[in-house]
Amino acid sequence: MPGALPVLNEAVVDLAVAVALALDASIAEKAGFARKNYFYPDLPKGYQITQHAEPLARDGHLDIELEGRTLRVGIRQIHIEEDAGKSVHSEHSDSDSSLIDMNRCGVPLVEIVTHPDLRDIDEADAFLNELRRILVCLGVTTGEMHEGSLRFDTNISVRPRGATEMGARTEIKNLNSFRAVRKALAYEADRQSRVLRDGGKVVHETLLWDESRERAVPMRSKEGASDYRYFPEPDLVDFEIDARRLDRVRESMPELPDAARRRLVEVYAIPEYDAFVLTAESSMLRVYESTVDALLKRLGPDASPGAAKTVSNWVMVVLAGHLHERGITLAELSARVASRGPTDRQDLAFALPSRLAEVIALRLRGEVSEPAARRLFEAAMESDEPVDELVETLDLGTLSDEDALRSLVREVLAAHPDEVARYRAGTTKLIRFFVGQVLGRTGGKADPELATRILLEELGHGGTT
Amino acid sequence: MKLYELTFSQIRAGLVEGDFSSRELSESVLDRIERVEPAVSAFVTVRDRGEILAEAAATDARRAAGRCRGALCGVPVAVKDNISTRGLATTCGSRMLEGYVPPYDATAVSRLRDAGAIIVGKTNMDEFAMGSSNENSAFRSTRNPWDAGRVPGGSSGGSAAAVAAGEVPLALGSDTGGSVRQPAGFCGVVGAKPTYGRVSRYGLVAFASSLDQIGTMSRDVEGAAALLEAIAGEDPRDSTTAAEPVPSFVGDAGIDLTGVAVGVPDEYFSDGLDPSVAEKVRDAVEIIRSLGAKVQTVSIPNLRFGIAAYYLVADAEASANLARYDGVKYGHRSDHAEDLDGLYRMSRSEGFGAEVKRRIMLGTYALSAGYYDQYYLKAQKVRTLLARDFEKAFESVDVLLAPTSPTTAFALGERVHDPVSMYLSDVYTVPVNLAGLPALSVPCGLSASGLPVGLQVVVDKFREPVMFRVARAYERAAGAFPAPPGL
Amino acid sequence: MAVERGDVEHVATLARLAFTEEELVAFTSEMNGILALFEELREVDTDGVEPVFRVLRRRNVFRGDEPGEMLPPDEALANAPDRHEDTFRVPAVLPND
Repeated sequence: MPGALPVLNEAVVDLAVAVALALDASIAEKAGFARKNYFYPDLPKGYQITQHAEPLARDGHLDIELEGRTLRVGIRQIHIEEDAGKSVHSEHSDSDSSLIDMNRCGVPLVEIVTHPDLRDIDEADAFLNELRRILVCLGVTTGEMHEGSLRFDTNISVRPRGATEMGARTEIKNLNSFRAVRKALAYEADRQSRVLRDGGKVVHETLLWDESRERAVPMRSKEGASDYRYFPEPDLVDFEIDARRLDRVRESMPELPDAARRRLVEVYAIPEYDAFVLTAESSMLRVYESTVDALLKRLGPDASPGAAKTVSNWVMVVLAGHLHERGITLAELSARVASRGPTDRQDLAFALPSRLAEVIALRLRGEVSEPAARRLFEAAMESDEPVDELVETLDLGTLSDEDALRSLVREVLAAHPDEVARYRAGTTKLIRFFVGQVLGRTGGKADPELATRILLEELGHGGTT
Repeated sequence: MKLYELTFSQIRAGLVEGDFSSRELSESVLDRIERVEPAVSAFVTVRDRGEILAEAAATDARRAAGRCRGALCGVPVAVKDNISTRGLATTCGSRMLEGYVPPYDATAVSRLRDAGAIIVGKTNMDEFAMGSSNENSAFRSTRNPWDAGRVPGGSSGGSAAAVAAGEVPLALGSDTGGSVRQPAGFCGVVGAKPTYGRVSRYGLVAFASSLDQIGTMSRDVEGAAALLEAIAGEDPRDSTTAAEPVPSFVGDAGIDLTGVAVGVPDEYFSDGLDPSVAEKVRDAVEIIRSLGAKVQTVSIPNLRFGIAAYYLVADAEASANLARYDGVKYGHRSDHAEDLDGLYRMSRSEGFGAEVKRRIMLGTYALSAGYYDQYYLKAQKVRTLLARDFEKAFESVDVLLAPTSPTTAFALGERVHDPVSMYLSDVYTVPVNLAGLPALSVPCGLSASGLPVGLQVVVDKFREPVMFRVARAYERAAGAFPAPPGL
Repeated sequence: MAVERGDVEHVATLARLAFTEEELVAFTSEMNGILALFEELREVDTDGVEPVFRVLRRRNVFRGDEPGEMLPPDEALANAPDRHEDTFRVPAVLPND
């Protein structure tokens, strides 16, 4: 609206500082805003408030691991700017007109500009993934590209093999997924290569990725030859990033994924892959570590060296599967579990890990079988009954009475004479069938290992009954 | 004496004493508007009479119940048409915004409403505040109440003419390069521009953001001070408002200026100055000296570079501020566009007048690749030097006294086709905006041809109280300024 | 230094203004007159002088991270020349081919 004025949201300053710290950038003591002038329908003022001469931070880097090597990607600049509106599509937006939604206008965002250090699509992809993990970890974004909370504008140029000069670049905007980034880069690399091969010249321009047609189309008309006429934004004052702010932000920053990963491998002796998965979200990491703590306390000196790995399997497979099946987040499940237990604040973060640890402990002590432990876990997440009582209630205790199990095994073998004959004729993989039958009859309570041993013994009797 | 003729201080006293009601005052003002508006053309929009009288009656009721706080309660005020008023068209004197109705109030307007002031209507102006004569209004040329063949000055010419013609006792204007002081001087009223940052710009349609300030007009100094006091102060919606507390601007009516150091800058009395303006200003300085002030000569060496620096800075900022008028969200949209680019170019070319296009072109050029350092950056450096000149002067004096303009009101049509001569008429007012200082113009007599002359009082940042004190003492010593004859 | 017609056309493109042939010619000479006025600044020695972009010596003005007052969509779009639901309609943004 005519007469409206901007005011800087302090939260974005702190978030941008966190990003700059995470990317090892040098942060300016004083920063300010400028107007970038151009006409575009999604830009309601005819200029964008951004940082030009005095950005918040410069000269950072991010190291990424890629096929066993480390690639350092230079960060040129980190700055704050305002978001623009967006074109929306509906049945009414025929080919002659576009519809502009201005709701997002003026919302602050943090822009990170890299150096041209990425050589191919895989490098770009690995970099963007790692960057996303960091930004999500810092709470700067939810990382949801389809919502526009995280957006990538990619610049790409190709050059003939052996050439030393970089070619003219084009910028591609409107990339709404990692898949789109890969597709667009491939499309544009191919297009530029063909232009060069045909003896043409690549024009420096901005392209818009058209997702439905999988191609990039020029965004601004040529007449608007870009001259952004930057000048200091008179409606905003400069801001300082003093030591107090730096300390405050630094203290409130969570451990970054890369550091967490290295620590997990070192402290818990779990595989790199597990550490990578567990550090994808800080909430996942917290649950993992709390569960390991709770488990070690519970097991005491009996704890085996592999306990931490067992927990990582449970978190990555069983817990993640539980969340996925129900379409809920870890935070939601944690809250749900906590809400059923005692309402002590302390319990809020620990209710889920402590119940999970209890299930795992029962399993490690052999008090429940693996299938029973899975059922016990589901039950532990959905009721407030103490876990050990659930074992009773659901009758999940391991059937460890060897005699009882042996008679059950005999019943199973007697009921399937054909299979027994085929087994003895050499189809030994049928052992799995028999184990399944035995477990089925015990409702999953039998220890599969014990059942297998008895089955092998009984089958070994060579057909005599 | 008719109610519409009263000065603000008489109105304030009369309302408190119960000599007349706000409703009676408003009726008198509305009758006056009906009678003289055809000759003056000060307003773009006058609000519905019934609504105004109902609001006035409501403040009378509040006063009767003892709930009328503040000097503005029940006082009619006109608002320049570039200050947003919720539900009331705000055109900026432009075809571009014809019919545009803001969905919100400017902070200054909401503060006026809170103070109980009654908004009468929106006053005419040069398009987007670009001009010094009101001839750049897309709708009509406001006439000078002293001589219908002359301009009222600009860009707040409508506000100045309305106050001078008795159509309203108080008015808001905006001052980017003298747009309150120069028309106040031309029309024989008081016009005050505060320190940059004193008054929120939220809702003031931007012309040049680093220079724009809302200012006030009245037939007496007290009115300009009271109105300014009511709208001043930090606003969380405008990052460039000052955090300084707002002291009383009205102060007391003391006439003794003992202990006040006055500077008269030599450069303001140079070749281009009309001798009869010079004479009146010198007379005023002598009156102020006679009230006990110590007068000395000071220097603002870079004064003559003010015009060039000002127009570069103002036009550069304007070129960005006016980019939002593109035919998409509000304002004029061309029917002749075939594509998006055409929509922009046609809407803007049809919606803006010649002077606005000229400024946008100059500002765009000054910022464009290759010229930024030479023009825009250079101008901002000269601005530093000019600000330093004032800082240095204020090391030895409290106030500067100077003419508001080099001439009295010029004839309609005299300069409108010669932009350079039009720009030069702002030579004495623009330096103050570049330095962000407060200044006012107070009438100081009539020239040989019977036209008002303005005395400009300039003080250091945030020293509005001493500015109003000197102006008020002078006003009392000089005696009542006459109303324009023959209306 | 003088601007030429071509410069004026280029600036008009940047500013999204359209001029007729006559206007362009008139404007070129007018602009040169005003630029001559601006050229006076060359006389001023500004070596080592910091530009003053903002006269107010204030820094660190922030707002909190809470939503402020919001305009209902109908009010925000009330002045729109061409509106569809809660959006503004404009001629096609992408070239239509």
